[in-house]
Amino acid sequence: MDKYIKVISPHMKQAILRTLGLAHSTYLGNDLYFYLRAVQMLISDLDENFIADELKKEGKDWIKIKRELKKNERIILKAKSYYDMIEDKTFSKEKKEEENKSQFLKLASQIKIIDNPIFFMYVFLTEKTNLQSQTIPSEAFKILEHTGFRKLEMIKKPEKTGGESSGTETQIPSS
Amino acid sequence: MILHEQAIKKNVDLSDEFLLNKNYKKAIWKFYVSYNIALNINQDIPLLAKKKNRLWKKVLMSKEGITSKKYSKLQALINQDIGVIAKALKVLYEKSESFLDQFGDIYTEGTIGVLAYESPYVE
Repeated sequence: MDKYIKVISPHMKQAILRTLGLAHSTYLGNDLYFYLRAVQMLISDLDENFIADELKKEGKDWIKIKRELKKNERIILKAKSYYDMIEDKTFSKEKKEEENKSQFLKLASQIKIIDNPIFFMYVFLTEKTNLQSQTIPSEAFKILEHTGFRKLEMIKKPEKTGGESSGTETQIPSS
Repeated sequence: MILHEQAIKKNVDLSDEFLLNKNYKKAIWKFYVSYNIALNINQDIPLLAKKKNRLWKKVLMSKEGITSKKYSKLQALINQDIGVIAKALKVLYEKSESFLDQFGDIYTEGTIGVLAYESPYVE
């Protein structure tokens, strides 16, 4: 083979593939956060000098890309903190959580939709590693549709017909 | 190769699913995630990137939802970008073919024959 491919350790590979599974399958639209996490994991696993050398071969500047990634990271992390606080993810016309919504939209508007450096680095780094020939396990595709865990309700068990009632309570997840 | 193919297909599938549920904003976003990945695989310079960024930001950030009538107008713009995804899938297919050329076909006739050492007719 004419190009050098870096081998990523199995544990790191598993963690990155799981993060990518979340990024590909999230329903909430915060997939950029998971892509960024996968890119950061790849950067920390590969040597920065190696990345800089490989980018130089393609005529790109690592310092410039790094600066752009940092800027995106700052915006995405800030935007996600506002996004997590919004309960109504449908962004309906109801005047609820106006401040959080406006802050989130203000931050999200600063992120490039096309030609984003996160996607460039994601494709570039995976092509330089043995990740390119891997498949994301199906259990990693978790569909993140709701805001969090379902609330647990305390529901009493129906009384027994024999006369003795059991006072025990069970936790049944609400539908 | 396989990872990128999976990424593109998964995002396009989700985009179609959102489209069927009339969740147009998320459908557009998911489509452009796979478009971005495809663009970097092709190593293409995006055409009119600034203009497109401005347009889609305006569409996605608007407080009003996208109606099916409005989406049908935007569909023409999205259709122009499908070519990039198709090209990327073609590039990935060619890459996987060359990968087999370098390492050889692992499923040769001999390997299949190995499993046939035990005859079912012998008791």
